[in-house]
Formats: sequence, C-alpha cells, structure tokens
Amino acid sequence: MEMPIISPSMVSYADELNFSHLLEDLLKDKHNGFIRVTSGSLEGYILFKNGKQVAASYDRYSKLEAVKSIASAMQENDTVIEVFKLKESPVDYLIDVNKPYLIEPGYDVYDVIGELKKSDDTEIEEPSSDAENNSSKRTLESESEITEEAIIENTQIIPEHPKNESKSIKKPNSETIIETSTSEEEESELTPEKDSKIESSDSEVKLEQSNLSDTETSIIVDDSTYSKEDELEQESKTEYSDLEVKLEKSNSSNTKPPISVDDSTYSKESESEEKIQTQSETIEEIEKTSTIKTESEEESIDRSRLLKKYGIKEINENDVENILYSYNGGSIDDNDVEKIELTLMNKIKKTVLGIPKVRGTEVLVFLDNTNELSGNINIIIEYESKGFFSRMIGESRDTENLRRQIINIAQIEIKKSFRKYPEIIDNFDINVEI
Amino acid sequence: MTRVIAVASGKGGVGKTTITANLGVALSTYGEETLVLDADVAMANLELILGMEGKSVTLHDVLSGDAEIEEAVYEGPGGVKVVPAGISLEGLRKIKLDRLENALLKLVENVDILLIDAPAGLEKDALAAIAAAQEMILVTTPEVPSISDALKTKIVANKLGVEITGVVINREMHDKTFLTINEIETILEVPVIAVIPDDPEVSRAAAFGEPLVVRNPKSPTSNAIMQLAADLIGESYQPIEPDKKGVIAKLVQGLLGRR
Repeated sequence: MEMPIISPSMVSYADELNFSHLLEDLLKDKHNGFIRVTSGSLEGYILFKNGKQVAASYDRYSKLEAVKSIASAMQENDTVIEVFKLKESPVDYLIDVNKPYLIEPGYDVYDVIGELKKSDDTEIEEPSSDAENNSSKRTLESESEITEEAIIENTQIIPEHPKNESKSIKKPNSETIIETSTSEEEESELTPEKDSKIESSDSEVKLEQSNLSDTETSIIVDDSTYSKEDELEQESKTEYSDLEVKLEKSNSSNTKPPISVDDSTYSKESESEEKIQTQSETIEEIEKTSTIKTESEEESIDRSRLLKKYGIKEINENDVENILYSYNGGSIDDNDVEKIELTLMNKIKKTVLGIPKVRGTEVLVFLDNTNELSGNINIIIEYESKGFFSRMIGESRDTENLRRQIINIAQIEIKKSFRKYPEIIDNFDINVEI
Repeated sequence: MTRVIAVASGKGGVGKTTITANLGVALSTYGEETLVLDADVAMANLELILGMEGKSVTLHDVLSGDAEIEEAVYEGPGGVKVVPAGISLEGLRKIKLDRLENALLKLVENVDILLIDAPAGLEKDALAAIAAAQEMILVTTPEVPSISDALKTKIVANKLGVEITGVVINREMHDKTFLTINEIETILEVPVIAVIPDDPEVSRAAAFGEPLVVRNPKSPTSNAIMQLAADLIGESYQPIEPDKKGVIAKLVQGLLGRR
C-alpha cells in the first residue's frame, strides 16, 4: 500500500500491547491514519478512517486476507506496531490511492480480528492418538460474518522436501491444527519433558500438551506460519520449506536447538507430557540482523535503481561548485576585480590594434569595487603619421573619429564582458589619448 | 524570529508561484504575519495570480535603486503582504540583484514568515533567492524532468546551507505513468510534506486573479494547501468538505455559467 512517510505517534512491540485493545482504542478515538505492522521482512498496513479499517495489506495479501495475516503476525513477540495519525483528507486520498486494498464496506473487520485473536488462544483438544488422522480440519468460528472456516490440512510430504511433513490432528471440536514435523536429524534434537509445551512466537508453534490419551492437548498455532484457509494451503507448503531453511540457519548459529515434531515422535510422546520451546526467536534474530545489515544497502540500491530507471543523473560535486562559483553570494572579490581588469585590457587592446594605421596602443583599466563595479579606462594610441597636406585638410576630424571609434570599441568589450548588466558601461570613465 | 522560506523547484511551470501565493494567503488566515516576495524578477506572475498587477512600485524599482522596499509592500487577499516583482521588461534591465539582500533584511523586521517565490533554474537570480532563505520548500510535479531539476536544486540549496523543509508534489494525478510518492521521496531524499492534486480550479482561479484558497476553499487543492500551511506552523486543520450538490443544482449552475 502507498503510505506517506511520517513520524509514528506510537511504536510498540506486539508482546507489549494488546492488539484488540489497540483496535478498540482506535475505534473509540475515531482514529484517522494507519498502523504499520512489521514482522521480520514482512510489512503490512491497515488504513483507518474514523476508527474503522478501510484498507489493508500485508506482504502479498490484501483486504481481509491481509487483516488476518496481520492478526497472525501480532502473535510474534518481535512484531513492531507503529500507529500513524493523519487528518481525514489525506486518509481519503490514501483510500483513493490504495483502491486495490480496500475492504468491502459493511464488513466488520474488527470482529474478524477479534475472532482471529480468540482462535489463537483456542485450546484444541487432542483425541486419542488416532492413526487414521492423516487429514484434519480446523474450523474457525467467528461471531460475526465469518461463520466457519474449515481448514483441511493433510499430513503431507512436501515433494521438494521429503523430510518435511505436516502433521494434522483431528480435534473433537472440529478444530484443526498443523504442526511441522521435522527431519530425523532435527527430531533427535527434540528434548522431551514431562509437560510438553511447544511455544512459538514467530514461525512458532505453541503447543501445550498434557495427557493426550484422555485429557486434552492445548495447541496454539501461529497463523502466520500455518494457513487456515484452503486456498492458502499451497502457500503454507512453501512457508514450511522456508521454516526448514530457517531452522537449519538456527542450527548453524548454535543459539538454540531447533525443535520439531515428527509424526511418530509425536504419537510416542503423546502419552507423556512434554514441554518444547521452539526456535522462533532465534530465527527472528537471524532475520533481524540480516535485515538490519542489508537495510541501508537496500535503500541506496533502491535509490540508484530508481535513478537509473528514470534516467536521472546524480549531481556531482564539481557541477555544484561550478554553479555556486558563478554565484559567489552576489559579490565580487578582489581577485575577481584583477581578473576583470586584465581581461578588459587584453580585449580592448586586441580590438584597437585591428584598426588600420594604429601602430601601437596601451590600455589601462582601473576598477573600483566599493558599492558597485565602476572604473576608469585609459587608452593611449600611437597613430601613423600623415603628410603635411593631409594634416592640413582633416587631421582634427580623423582624430576625433578615431577617438569615438575607440571609445565604442571599449564600451562594446565591457558590454560583452557583462552581458547581463549592460548598464554597467555607465559606471566607466573612458579616456583616449592619441 | 522571522522564518524566511524559499519556494523553489528547479524546473519552471511546476506551480511554484501558485503554491507560494496560496500558501501565503493560507498562512495569513492562521494569523501569521506573512509576506510573499516575488523574486522571479524575469518571469514575474505572482501579482497576476493574486490579482495585484499594475502596482506603481515593484521589486524592480527597489532592485534598480529607484525605491525603498517598504514602498513596494502591498496588502493582498486574506491580509497577506505582497511584494510584486513587476512585469515590465524596462524595469528588468536596470535591476541589480545585489540589492535583494538588503531589501530582505528590511522586510524581515515586521513579519513572522517571509515566503520567497524563487525563479526557476539555477541562475544567479534563483540562487540569490534561495541563499536569502533559511528554509526551502521544494515544489515538483511527479514527472521525471521536474524531479531531476528538483534534485539539482536541493543539492545546491544544501550547499548554500539552506534547510529543506520538504517536498510538495503538485498536480498529482493518481496516474501510474508518473513517479509515486515513495519514489520521489527516495530519489530526493526529502520527505513529502504535501500532495496537491491536479485541479482545473487552480487555472480558473488564476484567470480571475484570485487565490484558490479564497475562491474555492472546499476544493481538494485548497484543503491540501491549508493543511500544508497548518503543518508548517504546527496548527491543526479540519478540511472543509465539498458541498454535495444535486444533479439539478449542478445542471442549473452549468447552464447559468460559473464565475
């Protein structure tokens, strides 16, 4: 979803806040804005208008699916929730921009989230170890529009990962759960205890099991890892394979032993109580560190990609210096004055020497840079001598014409040098001696 | 202390002057003593947007040394003070930009916010306007050439020690052809502080020499500018909802014409 980059009004970890309470508060406050939920590399948004959820996205999910995924992500301890406040008009704009993510009007998303929250805490009874329970169902009852979501999850062997299995357990109350079953190597690392408890925070499985034979097993499965809907089954497969990879990572990091449950192991241990803590935190830590490391790189890469994509050139330091050199804060310093004097001298001299019969010339430019640029220009001309008769006829007129010509030349050169301020010639006093 | 804010873009025609004029009026309505100075001495049109053309003394006269800056200050719509640049080419010939700095020093004595409508490009006049400010609002449209020029302007402004308050994206059309807000923020490395939708009402208001925030305060553009003004001074703003007119009312309005 397209969201503005603004400062959050509140930031919290999922385990430090009650998500349903937060939603209640936002509804009460008629909140306009959005919340951002970040779990590992996944990011999601829920857009609020007057306290109601109007649009949502999470990873590749949108609308209601996204809301469900976000609710699942809230089970993870290190999920970060940021609340952003906006005015109503930007919200309208964001609704416009994020049309593909709009939740159908009339659908009470709050109830869905509430239900999802409840379902996470639902205790699921484990029947006596039924061998035929290769397929199981998990139904989510919701008090609102969602009536029942039956999720059939088969104990399946993922083709790509033959060692991975998902185990389903049929519940008397028609609730279904999936657990990851591990490879044999991982299995060996399982530490059986009296009260078996598998807790997971992220990709985790929280499993409380006691006396499977006659009492109940309490299993809490995080929705982020385990799909609830039929159409998501396929995706769950890939998630499991991801999980395996992550578990392998955690193995290599030697932080905590990976925990997984195998079918056979599970059935064996079902008669006893065990407590198992999952590796999810480790996995998250790994994800976190890798995310932190690459975050800054990604940002720069993204920018450079964007620049490349749109053909925008990055401005280099020299270009900026050149631009600013021409500006110089609006004043001319002494070095500039000397340069201008020299340039003007050479230019005027060169042009004057182009006049026929001018044997030699000396140009002196004196600039004054007090209030504004002004100065004196003295030009001395050595002119070719004429015969007596010529001098008698019109020497004075020729000299006068030459003087005018040279003054014109000097003025033209000044104008050429100060093209943007042609009026500067009024500040110059030009004297010509022939 | 007076805030001196330059509104610059790099590229011409992105709506700097329209935003400056309307932002100035918006800030005034919040009770801020605001002065808008048209530093675009070559292509001045702030006075046209605010309906203040033909003033006897303009910034041209001040920069030519023929008048004092105080003589060029006029009261505009919504109580905003305006220094028009003057649209005569003759006035332009005589100006000296070096005088701008002194003129600004006098202006900041009596106002809370001084908005400078900077010229397009990075010529001396544009640099003088940017350098005179402490803060800068970068205006751009979501198009590549505009973003590219805005990037140059931003870098130069940074070099001049001017703080970039944020980017205002003007003429946003919700069109995937153009750059998104995120992309613009990433490229310019500056937060987007306002998104002004493309609105034909803007041109209509300019044609009548009236700022949009006065002429049509219920329009999305007006609301966006009022919100921007509120954000700049830390005020809150409740957008004005547009009237929901019936079909017949719209038909009648269409038939009668609309001024």
